[in-house]
Amino acid sequence: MKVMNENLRVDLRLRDHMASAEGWGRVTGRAVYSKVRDFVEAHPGALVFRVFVAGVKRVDISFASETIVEVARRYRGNKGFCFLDLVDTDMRENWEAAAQRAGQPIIAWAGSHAQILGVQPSQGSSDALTFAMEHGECRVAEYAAARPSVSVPNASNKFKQLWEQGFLLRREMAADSGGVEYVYSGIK
Amino acid sequence: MWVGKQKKTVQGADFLYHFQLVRHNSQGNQRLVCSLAAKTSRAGSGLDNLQLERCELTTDSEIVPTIGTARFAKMEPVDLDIQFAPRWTDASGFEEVLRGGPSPHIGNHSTVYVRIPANCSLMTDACVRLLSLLNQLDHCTRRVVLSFEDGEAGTMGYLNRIRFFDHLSPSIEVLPIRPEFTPFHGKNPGLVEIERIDRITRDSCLLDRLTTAVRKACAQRKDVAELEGAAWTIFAELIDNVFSHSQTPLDGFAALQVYPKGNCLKIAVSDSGLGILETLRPSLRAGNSRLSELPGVDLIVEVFRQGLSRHGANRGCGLPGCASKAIKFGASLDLRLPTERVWLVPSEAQYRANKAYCFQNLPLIWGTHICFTLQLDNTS
Repeated sequence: MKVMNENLRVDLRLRDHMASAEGWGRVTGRAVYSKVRDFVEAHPGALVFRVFVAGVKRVDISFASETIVEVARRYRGNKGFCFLDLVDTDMRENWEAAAQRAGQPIIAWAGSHAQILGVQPSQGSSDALTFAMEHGECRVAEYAAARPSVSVPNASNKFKQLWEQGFLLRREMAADSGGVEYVYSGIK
Repeated sequence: MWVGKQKKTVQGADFLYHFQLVRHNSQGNQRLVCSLAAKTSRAGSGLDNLQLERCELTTDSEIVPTIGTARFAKMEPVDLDIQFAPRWTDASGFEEVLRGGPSPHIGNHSTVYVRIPANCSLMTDACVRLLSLLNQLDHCTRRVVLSFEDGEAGTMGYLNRIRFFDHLSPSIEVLPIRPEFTPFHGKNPGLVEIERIDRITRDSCLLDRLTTAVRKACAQRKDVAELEGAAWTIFAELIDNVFSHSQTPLDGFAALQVYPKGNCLKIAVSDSGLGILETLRPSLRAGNSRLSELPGVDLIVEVFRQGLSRHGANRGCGLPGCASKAIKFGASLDLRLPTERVWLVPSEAQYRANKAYCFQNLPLIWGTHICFTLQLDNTS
């Protein structure tokens, strides 16, 4: 299993960007969004931002949609955002509602278990997503080889769609043949 | 042509007028009855022609800032009596009382008397609506008199404890005597004071104060954390909407109370703005949305079911989120708009138009007044 370079991951502690432990309202959310965006811009090499909500007591749906969900939407395809310690049910529901409205998936990790908040992958793509998340990184050819019933072009479409929708990240690599191929990675 | 002078007060160098207006259009007999609060620095000679510098024209459905020339004819002012019944009065009871007479906003009433008899107990949703209405009438320069038959021993004492009179406009007369606030913390854990939603300054501790009562009053319940979380999210979204959308000229109010005997929790938020449909429908029309043609009740159901916003498809998730939290507790939703009221009960875990009770052509009250009543008898 291949693992993304640790330097490409950055921990983002949401509470550090909030004025108080409770996040409510769009205006407050926009102020936090600016700070989070600045934080992201200050880490140009980072691909994955692991969001920690420790110290955050509550967030409402409007605040959620203006902060991490909006940042994830803005950087979709280029950078990924996931939650690492989202255990509070009430807060998770509010992030979920905000992500659903924005059409932006965000993965909440509980150990090795991933829960997708917001839009879900299509039935035809979910297996490809699971494959990529289990392997950390994968190429289309690897998936097609593991699933004989799936052709390479079909597998390529699935991964491209998942990347465009914000479920996966991808980067270009030089293929052994001399061309370019994409390496897809889960957001963790 | 606009006719009908009703009341003039002096505010500094300005003159404030309140009128009942009848407007005739050029085609014939169509009339628009409305009320007008106008401000001018010139008193006008005999008030035959008065150049209005700033005024708000209030019709049944909208408030239109306007400037124009008004012509006036004298009308004899009459008093309006709003008499509550000696029983428990929630939002429904409050509406029943209002429907029993002419609209306090519309009409040439110089004085509005609101009489609370002995044995009349106002529930929290009725309290915040009454508070908003009284402040609105006062804002329109009407004389408002609020009287309590049994004085501070009855409802007046309760209203005092929840700071009703702190938020009531100082120019409103209270009989037999306006009480001075006395703190009452701790004796009833389910009681929470009415909180002012200050349009200018956002109070970051507001939500915590409001939801503390849930934690205290429902401490024995297994789902107290979920209940408190639901109340917090509902308040957060509703109060944020007041800031973002209402364009209210007056402060809004929020209140919460647990009723152990009634096994319910009421969460009420009230503002004196334009009303949710008045801000939403024009943007839907501008976007050529078919939803703009929906009747009021259907549109309201969609606002709470799928979420609609005048700011586009990515917004509007707050109210469905509130509804989703409230429905977990079997909550009914009472929504009062300027002349409409919709009462929704959950069906199959959502609000549906076929389970909506709609009341139209109600006496005008500015703003949006929302009350969720969460049922507490379904679990521990």
